[in-house]
Amino acid sequence: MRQAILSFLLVFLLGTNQYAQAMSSANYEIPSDVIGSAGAPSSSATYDLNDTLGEMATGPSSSATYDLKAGFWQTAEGYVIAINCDALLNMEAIQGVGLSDPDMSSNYATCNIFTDDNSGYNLYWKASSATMASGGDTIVAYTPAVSETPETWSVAGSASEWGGHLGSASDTVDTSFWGNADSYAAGKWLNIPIANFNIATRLSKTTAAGDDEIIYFGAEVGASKVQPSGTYSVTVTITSVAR
Amino acid sequence: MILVKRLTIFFAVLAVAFIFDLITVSPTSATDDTDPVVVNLSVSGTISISCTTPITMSSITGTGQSTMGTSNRSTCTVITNNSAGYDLKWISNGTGTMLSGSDSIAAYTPAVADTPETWSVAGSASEWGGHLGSTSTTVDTGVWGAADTYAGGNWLNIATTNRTIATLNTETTGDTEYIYFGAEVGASKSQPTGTYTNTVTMTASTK
Repeated sequence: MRQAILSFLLVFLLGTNQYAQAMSSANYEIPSDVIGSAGAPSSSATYDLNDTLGEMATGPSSSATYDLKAGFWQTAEGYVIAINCDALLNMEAIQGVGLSDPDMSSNYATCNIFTDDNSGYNLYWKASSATMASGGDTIVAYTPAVSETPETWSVAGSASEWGGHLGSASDTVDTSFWGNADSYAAGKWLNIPIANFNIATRLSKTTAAGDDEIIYFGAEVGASKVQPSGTYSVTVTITSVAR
Repeated sequence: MILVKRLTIFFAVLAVAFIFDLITVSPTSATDDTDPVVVNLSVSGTISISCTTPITMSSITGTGQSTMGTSNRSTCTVITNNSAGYDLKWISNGTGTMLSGSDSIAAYTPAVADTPETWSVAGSASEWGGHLGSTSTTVDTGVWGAADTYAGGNWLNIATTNRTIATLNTETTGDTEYIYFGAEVGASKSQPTGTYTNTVTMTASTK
């Protein structure tokens, strides 16, 4: 019987329910994890609740040399991250064929990101669909020569494509990745996929004013492409994630 | 029995302890935030038309018909990305007659105005007209007939005001439209010799 009780306690204390697992891939990162006996996110109309059950000896403590925050939620508490983007961008119209906004003077949306997370944030973009659509007509996603590698804009004369570029004047931008100009010829462009793609990373908290990130959008109808007239739309969701 | 009761109490106390000590209820702690951007792009409709010109119709020797064939037609290519399509119109210049100096061949006279019909010219008259080819990409053969002959096609005068001869309701990468021209000098008509000319203007416009 004593063995049975001990076994029960062991399972209860250590648990088998993994609330979250640390995982990473080329596109995603879950920087925190916990193993507890229970717990899961839940929500109501007013509140979100995230709980874990079975962590041992949680809470802050300190010595002369170290501060310790023990427990999954100790390090998660207190971060603030917020993003605010222009809600609507009407790209410059294309007259039958050619580039939208050839001098790239107005085809951008600005996102402001604030975080007090000392580890900074990752910024992602994703599209509601790979193509821009107008009824049953579409403009397909930009096709870089090498997947997920930004490049100077190039669309075949028989094609029509759209894509995005992180502006060189953004507060946080890797210009070696995105180019140091915001034009079709000199900037570097990518398709905006339907899964989150990391476009910028900041390793420290922002100023109180936040980071301004400038997202450019490009589109071209090739010279020999008959692209049905219409208003093509897509929703691009920008996500900032505390690191 | 006593053992079971003690175990029950033990686990109840243990559960309460765990609940109060180890469940952390946190306010929504923002670790990410999202904001959508709706991106719109307008592609405007454009249209182009290109027709073969000039058309040198087969000659008439004295009287009779200008032999119908490829030499009597102009080929027009219409391209538009307008998703609502296009209208194709024709119009003749001047008074609608073919002229050679002061001599003229009158416009075709259908029995019912503006209604294409099989070719019919009185023996005492000379007339010219047009027909939209049955093999055109966009053609209503119910209006223009299913053949490209005087007897099998339907013909109309080419008026001095624009008349729509074909309509397409979608974009096109290139419609080929064949415009046939016919002429006849009646058996009892003395039509002065000469080269008779008119300029027919084809217009494709977005709908």
